[in-house]
Amino acid sequence: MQQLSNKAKIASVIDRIVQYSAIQWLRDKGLWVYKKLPLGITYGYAFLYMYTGYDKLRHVEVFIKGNRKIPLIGHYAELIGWGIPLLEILLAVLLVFTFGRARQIALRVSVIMMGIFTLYLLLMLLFVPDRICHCGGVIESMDWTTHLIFNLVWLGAGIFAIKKLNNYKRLNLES
Amino acid sequence: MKNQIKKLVNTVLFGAAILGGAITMQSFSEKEVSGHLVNKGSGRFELRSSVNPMNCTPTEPTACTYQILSPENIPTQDSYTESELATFEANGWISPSSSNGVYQN
Repeated sequence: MQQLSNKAKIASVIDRIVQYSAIQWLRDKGLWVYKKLPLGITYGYAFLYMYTGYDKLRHVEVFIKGNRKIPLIGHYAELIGWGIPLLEILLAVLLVFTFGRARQIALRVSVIMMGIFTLYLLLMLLFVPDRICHCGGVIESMDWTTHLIFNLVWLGAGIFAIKKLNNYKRLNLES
Repeated sequence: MKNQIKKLVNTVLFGAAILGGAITMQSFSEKEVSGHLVNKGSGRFELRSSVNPMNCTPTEPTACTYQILSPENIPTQDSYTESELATFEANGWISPSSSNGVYQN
């Protein structure tokens, strides 16, 4: 009887150790993911901007033509048509191939640009019945509300990444 | 020093993979979808690489989006007229792929 009781106690202790280890492991992994998240978002921005920038550049004439129809900015269609995709590609390159302050600035410009795109979507949704969006690739196939949510998520993620990265001395996550 | 070089190489390789992946995905998505013609209203149609059939406002008597069946026969233009569309459809080069309406995007 005593032996059985001791075995149960040992089993209980082992169980607690395993549980504690599992929780500890989950906590460590969660912390690691949380710490790496800003860098992941930075790479996400790079991927997104390279994808859309390259797509716009491949269809630059259609993009310029579409820009001409947009009220207020139509006069600068050509400048915007070349400028936006080139800026997107430049930002994508800077986001992945630079460190420290340069990457931080690139991320800030990226998030500001995402903010401008989101504002454009919002204004289009509110005021323009025949909307124009040459947003690039599969993003172009989203309906306007989905596109707005997509942009808002990226905008929120970008702001989160900037805030977190401000706490690091260097952007390659050496805190 | 050795660790720093290793870290730098890893970052460059990972960065190149990210950007390369984005370019590959763009090319792949373009190849996969041969294209669609969308109804922009007033008898004007435009080419889109991909479409969302839910993005149509039902105010037109003609289809909102058309799937291109023979891309090699469709000329690259900024826009297409209703009569051009009728010809394409009669030749079997395109096919209506949604309900009637004006495409919003």
